Amino acid sequence: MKPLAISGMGLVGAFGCGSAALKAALGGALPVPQQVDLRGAQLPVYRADTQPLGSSLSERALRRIDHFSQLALLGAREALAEADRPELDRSRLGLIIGSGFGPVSTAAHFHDTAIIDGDEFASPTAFSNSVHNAAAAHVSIWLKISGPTMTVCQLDMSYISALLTASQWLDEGRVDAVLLGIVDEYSDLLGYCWKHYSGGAVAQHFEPLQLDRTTAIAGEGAAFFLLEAAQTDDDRPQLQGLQMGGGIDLPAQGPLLLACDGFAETGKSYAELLASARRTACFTQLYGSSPVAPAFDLAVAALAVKEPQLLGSAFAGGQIHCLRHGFVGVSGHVQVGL
Amino acid sequence: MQAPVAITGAGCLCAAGMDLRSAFAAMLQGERQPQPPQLFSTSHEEVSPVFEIYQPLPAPETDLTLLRTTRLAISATLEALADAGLSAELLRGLKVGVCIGTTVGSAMNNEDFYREYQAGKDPDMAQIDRYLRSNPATAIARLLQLDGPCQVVVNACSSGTDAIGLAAGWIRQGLCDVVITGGADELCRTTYNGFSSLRITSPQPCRPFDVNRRGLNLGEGSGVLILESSTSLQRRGKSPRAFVRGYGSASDAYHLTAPHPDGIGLKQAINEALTGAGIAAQELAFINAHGTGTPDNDRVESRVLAELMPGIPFGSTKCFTGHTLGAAGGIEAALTLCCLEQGRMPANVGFSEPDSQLPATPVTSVTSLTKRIALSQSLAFGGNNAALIIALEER
Repeated sequence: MKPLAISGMGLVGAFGCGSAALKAALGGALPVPQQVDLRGAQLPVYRADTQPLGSSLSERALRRIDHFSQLALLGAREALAEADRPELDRSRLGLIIGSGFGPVSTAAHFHDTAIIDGDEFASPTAFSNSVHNAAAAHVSIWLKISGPTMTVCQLDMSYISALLTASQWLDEGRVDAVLLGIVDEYSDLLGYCWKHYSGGAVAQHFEPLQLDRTTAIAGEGAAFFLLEAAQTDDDRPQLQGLQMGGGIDLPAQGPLLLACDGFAETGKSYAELLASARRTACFTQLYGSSPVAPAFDLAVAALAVKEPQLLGSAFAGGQIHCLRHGFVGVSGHVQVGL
Repeated sequence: MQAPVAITGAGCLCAAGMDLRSAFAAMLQGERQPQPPQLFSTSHEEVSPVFEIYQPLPAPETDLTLLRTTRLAISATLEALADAGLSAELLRGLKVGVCIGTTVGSAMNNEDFYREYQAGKDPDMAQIDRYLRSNPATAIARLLQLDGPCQVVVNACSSGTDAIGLAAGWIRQGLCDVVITGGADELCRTTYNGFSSLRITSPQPCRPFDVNRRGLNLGEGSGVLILESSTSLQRRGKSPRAFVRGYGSASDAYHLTAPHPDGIGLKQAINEALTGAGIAAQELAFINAHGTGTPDNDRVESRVLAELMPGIPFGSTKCFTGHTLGAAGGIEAALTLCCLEQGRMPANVGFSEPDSQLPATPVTSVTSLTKRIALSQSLAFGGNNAALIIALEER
């Protein structure tokens, strides 16, 4: 692939909003999971606050947009603001959103309207916002993006699927830039499933490197990137390699960011790498376990290649490899460098 | 210009037929039988007929615990692979990707599970396990033991067309030797209630582009194409059936569910596809229109067709299949291929009286085609628009 330059990032997670908030978390300002009520029990969740969107949209407008799409709008706004590229032709700007589960809360709300009130009274507003690409629609309308728009859904591999498409569009010259975002939200229904897949007892402390135990705490958020084809002598962080599949050809050298999600089922797939002499790190405990987590890792790597002191000397200089082993035997690998 | 990408196989099942050949034959005969839904119950006073598949799905070896959408996708895939002469053993020696469009197949919206959950019960997690194992692209890759890129496109009703456009890029970029691509969607209560709530379903068999059109009929099915690199074709000594010559897509950036009244995004998508194919609109034999039968869609589409492609015959195959949502682009691409090969397109059944607001009207009888290039287009919720150009010749 041809390298993709990251011109701006829009990050919304439990750590806060923006690159500075993520840097602060990396520096030790660890986010604390909220306790969410789930059928009378408390469930820790790394929630993301979309309140900063209030500076751009009225309360009335926000009432009509669900949390999932608000996460997307905030992430998209932040990425474009950080890139500071007002001259971008919005008809030549592509929009790609990846999501593991989509707007689950609104889909549940739609069911509620039919179950409680009857089929005749199912909510049209909830239905149109429950469609997977509703967030992309909101972003394209608000930011007037009229280039190609794509939403992809590949569970925890949504981020690498979306990157693959961004790389293709830029390589084909279909667009000048791609605004790419990975978005997922917490919902009660997901919390219920989470509890079951955690063996009924959800951990209160997330220890993603305890590979033999499930300590996962759910997270949510949005990670957006404004991507452009990298130029010669480009000083922007770059995505320099992408791999997706059952067999990843991982370079023998270079530090690794591991997107360990806190589940014992996938944890064992990282054991060999952690036991090796390679420099490794994991930051999932800053944003929680969700399909967005590996995209946040890309943001960490992008920040670290620009500011070598951020992750300490072990990660300074050269490329950083971000690796995610998925649930269905598929893995994703992204090489980040300058 | 976009380099042409070979189509070596096609498969389709829908209410019109359980395979591509029988579906297309039924359309040429003008046969259609939308009926009240039988897969699920509904308490709507006015029931909109649907285009449901009543026969058991083929491919009995397919895992019956997968979602119906995924089993539809697998059935069409197996037909398309057989058509292409590609066995599972042959595929294992190649870099094979899977790119499938869907709407229902991506949604964790199992209503039975949710009802139990809301009632305070502990629903069986097998239903969630089933959803997690049923990502259509991943399930196809798992079944055939493929190791290439996997992607599920969820662009609502343009998903299938967009999936094929992306897949063609995978071949052009050298990412894959072969890509299995198209769309799949099942009928279910959720989408039925959703479209009913928007008041865009018709209580009668749909009548695309007619003055008395009252909306769409939902349908289900899957359409899959096999795209293949020239290197792989040469190695196998295989001739293509046709080519993907152009693809374009664009957003209206206008409204969550309604198309832009001037069809801004649709025009941009069509122009990108024509430019990519390196052809002029007048070289098209026909257009397989989105043609849902809703007042808004047909008005916008008719205006754009009249402006950009005046005089080119067009019609909607949804009058035989219903609106199959994420499957539509895949099914319509496969049917477009059949039309070109047989030199005929089916009538736009249901159309009888023109609408004075619609400047272009569809074909009303089986129409002979003399040219060898066609366009299939899709409009979608979220303002997505996608256009695909299929041709019998490479240049």
